[in-house]
Amino acid sequence: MPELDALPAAGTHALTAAGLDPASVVLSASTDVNADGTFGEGWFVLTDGDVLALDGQGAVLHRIAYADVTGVRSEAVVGGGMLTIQAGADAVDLIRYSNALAPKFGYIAQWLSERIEWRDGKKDNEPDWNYEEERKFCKTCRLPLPDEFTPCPACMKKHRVFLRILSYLKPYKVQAIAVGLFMLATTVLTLMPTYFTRIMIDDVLATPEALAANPPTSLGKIFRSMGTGGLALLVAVLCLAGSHAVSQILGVFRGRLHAWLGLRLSADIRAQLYERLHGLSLRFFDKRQTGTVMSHITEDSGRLQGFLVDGLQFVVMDGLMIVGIGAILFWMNWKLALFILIPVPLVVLGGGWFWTKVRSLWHRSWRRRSKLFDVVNDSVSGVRVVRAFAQENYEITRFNDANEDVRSYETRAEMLWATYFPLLWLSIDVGALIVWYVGGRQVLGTEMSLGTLMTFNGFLWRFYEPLMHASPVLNWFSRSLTAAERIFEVLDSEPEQYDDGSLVDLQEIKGEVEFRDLTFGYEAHKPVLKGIDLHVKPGEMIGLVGHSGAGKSTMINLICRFYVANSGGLFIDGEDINRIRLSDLRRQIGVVLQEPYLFNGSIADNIAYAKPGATIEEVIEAAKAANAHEFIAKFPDGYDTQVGERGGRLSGGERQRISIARAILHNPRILILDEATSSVDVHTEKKIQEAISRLVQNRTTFAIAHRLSTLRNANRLFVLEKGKGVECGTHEELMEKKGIYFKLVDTQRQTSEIRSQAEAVSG
Amino acid sequence: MSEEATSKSKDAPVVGSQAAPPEPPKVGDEDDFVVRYLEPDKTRLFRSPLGSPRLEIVGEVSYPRVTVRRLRPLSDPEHYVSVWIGDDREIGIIRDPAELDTDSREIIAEELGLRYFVPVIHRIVKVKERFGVHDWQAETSRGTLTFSVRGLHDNLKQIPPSRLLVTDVRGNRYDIPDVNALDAHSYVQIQRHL
Repeated sequence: MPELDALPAAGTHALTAAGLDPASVVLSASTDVNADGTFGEGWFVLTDGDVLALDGQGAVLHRIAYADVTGVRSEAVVGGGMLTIQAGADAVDLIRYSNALAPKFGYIAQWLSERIEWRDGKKDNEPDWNYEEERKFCKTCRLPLPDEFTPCPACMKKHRVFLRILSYLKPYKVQAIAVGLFMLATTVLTLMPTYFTRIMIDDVLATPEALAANPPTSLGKIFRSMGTGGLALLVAVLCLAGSHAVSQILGVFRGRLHAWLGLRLSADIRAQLYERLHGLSLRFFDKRQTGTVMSHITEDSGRLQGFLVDGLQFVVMDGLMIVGIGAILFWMNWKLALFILIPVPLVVLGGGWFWTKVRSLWHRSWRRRSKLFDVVNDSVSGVRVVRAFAQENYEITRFNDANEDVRSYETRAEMLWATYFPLLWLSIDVGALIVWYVGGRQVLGTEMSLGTLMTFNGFLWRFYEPLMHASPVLNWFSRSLTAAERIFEVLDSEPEQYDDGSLVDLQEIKGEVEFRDLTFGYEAHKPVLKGIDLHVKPGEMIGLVGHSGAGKSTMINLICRFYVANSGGLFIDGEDINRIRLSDLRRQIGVVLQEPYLFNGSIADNIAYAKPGATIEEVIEAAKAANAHEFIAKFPDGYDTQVGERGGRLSGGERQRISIARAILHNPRILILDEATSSVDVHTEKKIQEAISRLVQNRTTFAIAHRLSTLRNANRLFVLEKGKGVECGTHEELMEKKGIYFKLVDTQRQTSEIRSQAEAVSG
Repeated sequence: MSEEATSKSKDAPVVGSQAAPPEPPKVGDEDDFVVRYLEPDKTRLFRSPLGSPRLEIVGEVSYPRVTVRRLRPLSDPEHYVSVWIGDDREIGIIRDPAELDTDSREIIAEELGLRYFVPVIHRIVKVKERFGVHDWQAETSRGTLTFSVRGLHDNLKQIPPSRLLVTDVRGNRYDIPDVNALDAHSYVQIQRHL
């Protein structure tokens, strides 16, 4: 039972009161708008025999027998919508809702319409209910999500993500353990010199009276045994020098190994991410913009890398430092150590506050800076317009305003920095003052040696500093984890099914294509194709005709199996397309797109893209057949000409012919021409048409063309309107019919007449 | 369209006088889409009295004034030489000029040498940067040169695996077929800027 939102008690009572069995409810869904247009709860209920609308108190607002319902529509109004029930000639606006619920009620309307068709025997199957609410909010904490695919930052299990990152260390166990040991060792060694201060003062440089006053520590005894001559000092200095040197050398190893490990780890993650991206279905790319996908690969993994390479050291080393120093301080003098903790809350909280503040100011000034850039970009790009309308002064004022804005925010950020950073240090100074006073009294009272006091002081700074940095480092840590989580999200998405067991072997497709009552929508509740029936014989050329948005490209996407039909089927050589091995299918489908994409590389590489390892003669042959050979030969670098983003600039027609050559070399059984000639001039179009007419021979071809005249080679034309196949036949048959195709041709003829007249006038 | 027609009439091939064409010409339309490879034993290049290169397909036709161009000047300069009537239409492709007779081979080599004015850099003496312009001093196949290259990003084109094409500020091109094959000194000069 597709119960969306369970009915409350009041609603159940209302049903019982109306003589209905609450168990007979097929579907209930809540709305957020009352009948009078104010916000408030209400219910849409479908039972076995009725369609009802209830208000928040459970009163029945509308009740229509399900048998009388002839249609259901969701109508959009501004900011909301309503579900309209058609009952024969009459209609009622059953329930209203705000925009927030529009997808839900849109789906209900779609589903219910199909269910009515099924009730009336127009459809064989009861429609499936597979409504998925858009992921706009976190399911656990209802926090709005930044986008549909980012995990909730509040509910994210940070430790789990962190552990998962660490799991990538598995192949590098030895190195990871070594890095850990190096970190530990360097931390200990950096603390050594400070600790030596105590021995220096108490045992080496002390006057005999002081020596007598202070009982030596175990390490101190060794130095005292060397006598009061210079020997103890020399040994002490050498020890210091040794610890400095070893610490730096270990630091080198640690740094190098850590960098290696961090980069290795992020490269592994990146490689896995990229590989997974190419395995994902196109639906994944649809829902995201190219930019988002790119940022997954570059930004997120870059951020993760930055953290793994640099940040992690900070976190671990700072953590070790705080723990280590804390332990030493408490061990040396726990009473004094307690006093040191007094400014800690101040440092941590103050630091936290300061960093948050500074970050937000920086962010704001960064925003203003980019706005300033926009202003400059705008007026420089549009300089002709500015001059033409003599708006220089306006532009200058606009710039000055933005400039002033940038100045004010950057000043605030810098001033905050200049003010609070010293204040923060002052709070640390409080700690030092406490140590001097309390510790000093202990020294005077001979409870503690002077060396211990000096050591305390030395450690103090090293103890507070990581605490002060804790906030930005932790922030860095958490942002990297979010980036990692986003990457893992991609890694965890379902890959496209290349092989799922019971697959048919289709080494050689004959090219018979059949759409059987096929319905499909990119989002299940908004079908783009509705009940398409089309049977294409092998070798036939079909022209797909219709207004933009009629579903032509969608049909092609389905043939390529970029998407899978929601209902009905698509059959190639009588086999369900979903049971054909995807690699077999794609190998035998060739596509020529409106804006062919050329990869970075030579023209020969680009033509051979579909058939790696093709000989140059095959490439030349394909280029010749595509009418491309001669213009290629005329380039200074011939087939070695570099194209793509950074290569030579080819015209649209040239790119097009290269992509046709690519398709010819690919030698597909099913060929798809998606607006292959729309971006070129008439003269080039003729050349491309010649090439295409050779390409389509003996292949099943689907062609979309804006200019209907280019479809004259087609055996049949299939006319789509609003997702439905409305006409199908030869050009002559359809012209005779005087239907939609006739109108389209007529409109185009008029346009082209106007164009030719205009050309005649201008020429 | 009209251009093609006029050019064809201007440079109409002179039909060979000796024997009848060995095979009937194919359908004209079809011809445009099929690559013609010139058979080495029937292909002969010679020079007109005034020195312009001519192509004779033995037993078929003789073309006055042909031009030659490399189809793969970078990756395979010695093979796949395309022979054209002027700048208009390709007559055919010679797979390997080495298979032709000596005279023809020499003419092709001379003509290609004239057509491809791309000095090959053998040794780089020095690359020095000032104000974003890199001054190169190099020994090339056409003599020792100095030239300036601006914005290495756009004007140093790396072509896998290890070719480097350099375009200087005046639009001249220089070729380094294999960066790794340069001597150590040259290599260092260049690596510093890559």
